[in-house]
Amino acid sequence: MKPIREMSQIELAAFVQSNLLQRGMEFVLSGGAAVTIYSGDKYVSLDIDLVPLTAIPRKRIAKAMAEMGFSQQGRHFTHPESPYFVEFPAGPLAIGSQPVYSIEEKVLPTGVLKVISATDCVKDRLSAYYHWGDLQALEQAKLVANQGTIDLHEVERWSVVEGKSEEFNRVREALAGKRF
Amino acid sequence: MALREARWRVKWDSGTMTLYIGHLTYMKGYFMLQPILGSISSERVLLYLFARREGYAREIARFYSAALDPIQKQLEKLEAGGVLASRSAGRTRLYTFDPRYPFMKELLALLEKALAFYPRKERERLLLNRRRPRRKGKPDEANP
Repeated sequence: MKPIREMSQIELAAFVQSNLLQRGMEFVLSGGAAVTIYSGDKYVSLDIDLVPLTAIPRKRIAKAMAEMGFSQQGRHFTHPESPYFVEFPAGPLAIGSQPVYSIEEKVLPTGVLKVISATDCVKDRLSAYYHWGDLQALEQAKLVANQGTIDLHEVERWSVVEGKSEEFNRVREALAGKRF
Repeated sequence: MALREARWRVKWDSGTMTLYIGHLTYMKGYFMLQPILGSISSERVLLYLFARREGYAREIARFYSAALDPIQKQLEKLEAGGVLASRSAGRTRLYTFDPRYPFMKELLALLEKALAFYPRKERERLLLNRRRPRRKGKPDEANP
């Protein structure tokens, strides 16, 4: 097993996830780290957001993280040998008002990584853009979408259900990789 | 201290009931959702933010004449749970509903119904508060 100081972001995420799974706690990677994966490393984030699939007491997570050598600083967990921040946003795993059913699995030397799909990653970023006007999140959505592996029709369906069809129409071409 | 031994009194003030037993305040105000939310402070925070869209701990505590600490804790708890989002405004932390919370639509519907069950006076107290911008120096609508 690689030492923690040599682990990349997704390797560390897989390591933490696998360790927590052995203790009966199941998480899925979401947020900026998922953007890093699906943008081909064009976007760099130090955050590792692990969303629980079931309700898990915070104390139980903190105990397991401490056993792996992480210490809690506010909402984040950090390891002395790693630059990354591990956070556990509240569940349920959802994007906007809709639950996430499609979870990808990637086998890495440090463990099995469960991560939201590229399409859900785009929806997650668009959610921040739709609701908060977060332009950085829109750029991240474009980076992932332009890798060409997302289902744009599903993103449109989701946007309509969220009541954001007008907003989607404004960014549709950018997501499809067309230049204005 | 057994209840029958306690010195208690009930006070009605502007449609709000307060029950004092000994030195403790046991009940104050109207609570529609407390049985399901499990906390009076939680209902207060949610109702306040529903009515006024945003608020900060001291303002909410002052509105309900409640202690600051439980209101602060509820705001933090609801933010950690993804229900609320916050931002800094000067030295104040302003809270609002997080539109990305998966049950937001249903929660707002529940709060709207709960608010409709509140007595008119309490409802008005929550709702009749200007939050729109107002030019500096213009007379206050409430106190022209």
